[in-house]
Amino acid sequence: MPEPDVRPFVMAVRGLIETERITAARHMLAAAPAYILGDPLVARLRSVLAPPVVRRMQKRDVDRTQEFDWLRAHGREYRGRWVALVGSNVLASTATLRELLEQLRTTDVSKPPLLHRVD
Amino acid sequence: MLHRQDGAVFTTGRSLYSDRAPGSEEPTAKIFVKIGIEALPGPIVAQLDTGAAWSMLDAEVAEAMDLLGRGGEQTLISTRVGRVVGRLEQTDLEILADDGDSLTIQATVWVSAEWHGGNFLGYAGLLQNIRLAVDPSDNSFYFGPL
Repeated sequence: MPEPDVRPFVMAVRGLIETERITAARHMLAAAPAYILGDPLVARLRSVLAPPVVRRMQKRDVDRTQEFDWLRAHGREYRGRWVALVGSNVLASTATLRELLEQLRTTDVSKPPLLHRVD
Repeated sequence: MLHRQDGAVFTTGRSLYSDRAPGSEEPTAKIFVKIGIEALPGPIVAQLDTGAAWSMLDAEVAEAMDLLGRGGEQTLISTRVGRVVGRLEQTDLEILADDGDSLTIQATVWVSAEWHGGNFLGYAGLLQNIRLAVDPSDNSFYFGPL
């Protein structure tokens, strides 16, 4: 018996994704015949279209009023750069996120900094 | 946190949001919330965009998360700078609370080495499974699982 050709089905689902009809794409996948579910392309589509899994966790950030206020007042001085802020203290300022992370590895931080590229 | 009229819990966490792009001179009001990512030592901000099909991560953030160059589903997305090709990848994001509980979300996000337009939390694959509310009187963002 020949292998089933899943390409028309996959193309149809991709067409729905590219036109941002995600719910329709999910419905189409949910109605897929069982004999194509094992195909790697179909499995990948099922994976990326799976509904999100949301869980509560007892982790908290701190109030970032000071950081947002600082960015409002001084952001223009750092246009195009990444900054790491704790309160109104600039821990690091770099051209790229990669460089920022490298600098922070050697910086003593009292609490997690807000990381932000000023656009 | 927020409760329904019958006393049932509606949202379980709250955080401060910024009502404009932090540090930007772009004047229009938007909602930027704090998100956490395991690869980063502190929070970043992402814009809430209920009109976007997918959540999007800036290329530098996606690189730090090792999400670029994976074999996710390739797809084009219409952005303010035109259509950009990228991939849909699954990852974990956190919506961070100042009060109450944060949320961890196993979500599908769109990433591209060509995308340098910031981070967005979109509807499909993320916001559609979250309850949310905003209070513009004090820039509070309330959220919780369905």
